[in-house]
Amino acid sequence: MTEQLKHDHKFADSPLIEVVDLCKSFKEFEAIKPPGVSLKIMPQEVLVIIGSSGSGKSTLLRCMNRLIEPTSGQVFFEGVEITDRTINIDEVRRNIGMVFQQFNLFLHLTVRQNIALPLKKVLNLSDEEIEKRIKTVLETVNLYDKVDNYPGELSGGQQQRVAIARVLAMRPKLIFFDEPTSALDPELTGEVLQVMKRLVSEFHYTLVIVTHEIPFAKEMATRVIFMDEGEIIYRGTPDVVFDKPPNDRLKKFLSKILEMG
Amino acid sequence: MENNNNKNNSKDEKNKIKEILSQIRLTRKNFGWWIFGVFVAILFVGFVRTWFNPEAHYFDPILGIINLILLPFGHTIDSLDFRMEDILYGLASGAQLTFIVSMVSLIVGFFFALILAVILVNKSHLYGLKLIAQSYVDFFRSTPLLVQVLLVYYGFAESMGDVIRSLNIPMFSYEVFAGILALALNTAAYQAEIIRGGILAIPTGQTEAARALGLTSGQTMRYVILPQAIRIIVPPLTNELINVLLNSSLISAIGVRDLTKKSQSLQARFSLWEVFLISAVFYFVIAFSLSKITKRLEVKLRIPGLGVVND
Ligand SMILES: Nc1ncnc2c1ncn2[C@@H]1O[C@H](COP(=O)(O)OP(=O)(O)O)[C@@H](O)[C@H]1O
Ligand SMILES: [Mg+2]
Repeated sequence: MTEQLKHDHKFADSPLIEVVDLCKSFKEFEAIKPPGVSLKIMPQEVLVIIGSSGSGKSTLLRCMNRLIEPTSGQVFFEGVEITDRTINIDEVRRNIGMVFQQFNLFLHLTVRQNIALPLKKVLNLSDEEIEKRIKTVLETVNLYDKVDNYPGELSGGQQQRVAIARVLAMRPKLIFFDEPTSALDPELTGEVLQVMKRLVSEFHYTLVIVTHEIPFAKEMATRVIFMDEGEIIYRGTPDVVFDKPPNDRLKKFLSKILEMG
Repeated sequence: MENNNNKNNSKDEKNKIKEILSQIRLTRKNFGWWIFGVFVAILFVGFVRTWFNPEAHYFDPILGIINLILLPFGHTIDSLDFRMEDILYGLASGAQLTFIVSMVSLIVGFFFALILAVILVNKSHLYGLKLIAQSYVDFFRSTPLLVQVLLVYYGFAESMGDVIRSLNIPMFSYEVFAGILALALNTAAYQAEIIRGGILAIPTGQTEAARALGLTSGQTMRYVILPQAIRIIVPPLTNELINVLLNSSLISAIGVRDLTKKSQSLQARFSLWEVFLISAVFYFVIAFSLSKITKRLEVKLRIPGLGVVND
C-alpha cells in the first residue's frame, strides 16, 4: 500500500516547478509586486512559506497552478511553461494537488464520492481502481470508517484529512497546502499536521506549505520563504529563519506569531 | 438485554404517537392540511357511498359542504342542486388542463432557465450571448404576463397555427400550445434568476477545489456547482411552481379551456357567481397539495451541512 503512494522523480536534480519574475495585480492593487517572485521547487523538498495576512502567499500558490492568472512572469512545471495560454492547464493541475484552508470538500457528495469524482472524470479510471484508491488513501488518513458520510457530518480535522486523501488519490507530483490548519480548533490541528508529516517521512512527497505553525515548520521544512507586502523578503533554512532571524521584518513577524500562539 | 430493548421500543413508539398527535392538532400551521384532508375525506366518502348505492348522488357530500359555503350568501343547495353536477364535472376537466399546462410549462421553462443561468454566471463574455440572455430575462420580468400571452398567441398564429391544428393531438390545440409557450418563456426568466442566485450562493472554494483537481469548467458546473445550487433553490422553485399554476389562469384570455375559462363559461350558462368560489377551491387544493409534495422533496434532498436547515 505504501509503495503505491511513494514517489520516484524522473528528474531528481531539475526543479518540479520554476517561477520566473511572477507578478500579480488585482486592478491597481499589487498583490505580488514587480520585479516579481522567482523561485524553484526541487523534488522531495518541503518549502514553507510564511508571512502575515495579506502578504500574497495564497496569491502566489494560486498563480503557480493558474487558479489565478498571473499578470506577468512565467511558471514552468517539469520544464514546460504552463503560463502559456495554449497549453491544457487541466492536464497540468491533475499533477499538482492543492489543500485549502476551508477544506472545500464537495458538500453534496459523500467522502467516497468526493474522492471518486476526479478519479472518474479527470483520470477516467475503472471502478475497481477507484475503489482500491479510495481504500488506500482513506486508510492513510485513518478515515475509512467515514467513507459513506457527508462532509457536513465530519469534524473540521476529519474534513481536512479527507481533503488530503482526495488529493492523494490523484497521485500528484507535488501538493500545495494553503494554511491547512488555520480554520481548525487547536485540538484538531494535530491530526492534520500528523498526516502531513507522514506524507513527507513515509511517502517523500514534495510539499509547498503556507502555515503559521512555527514548530511544525521548523521540524518539517527544508527551506523557508518569508513574504511581506507582496515580496519575498527572506529565504533560508529553518534553523536560521526561526532561531536567529537575520532580518528585522522577519523578526517582528515571528515575535507577533509567537505572542499569539 | 432483549427486555430492555423492548422497553425502549415501546417508549419510542409512545413518543412517536405523541409526536404525530401534536402534529395533527389543528393549528395555524396545519390549517391548510385540515382543509385539504376534509376535502379528500369527503371525496372518499362520496366514492364509497356511490359504490354501495349507485342511486346515491356521487357528489352528495361535496354538495353538503358547498351548501355550507353558500348559505351565508343567501343560497341553499336546493336552488343549485340540478346544475351542480355539470359545474363540478366542467371544473374538474378545466382543472386537469390547468394542471397539465402548468407542469409542462414549468419543466420546459426550467431547462431553458438552466441554459440562461449558466450563460449569465459565465465569466467570459461569450460574444454578446450574455447581453441577449440578460435582455431576455429583463423583458419577461418587466412586462405583464397577459401581454406576453397575447403576444405569443397572435405572434405565432400565422407560422404555427395551422401546423399545430393539423397535428390533431387531443387536448393540444393551438391555444394550448401558445399558452404553454408563453408560460414557459415567462417562468424561464424568473427561474433563470433563481438558478443564477443559487449558483452564485455556492462558495468559490468549491470551484477552486474542483479546478485544482483538474476538472474542466464544464465538469465543475455540471458535477459540483449545479447539484448544490439546485438543492438550495428548491424552496424558491417551489414558490415559482405555485406562481405558474396560479398565473396560468391568464391563458383563459386566449381561449384555453382551463379552470378559469371553464368557470367563466359555467357562470355565464347558469348565471351563478358562486361557480368562481368552487373554482377557487379547486385552485387551492391543487396548489396546496403541490406545495406539500415539494416540501417532502425538499426534505428528501437535504444533505447535512448544505442549504437551509429550518422548516
Ligand atoms: N480576487 C482578489 N481581488 C482583489 N484583491 C485580492 C484578491 N485576492 C487577494 N487580494 C488581495 O491581495 C492581497 C494578498 O492576498 P493573499 O494572497 O490572499 O494574502 P495571504 O494569503 O498572504 O493572506 C491581499 O491584500 C488581498 O486583499
Ligand atoms: Mg491566504
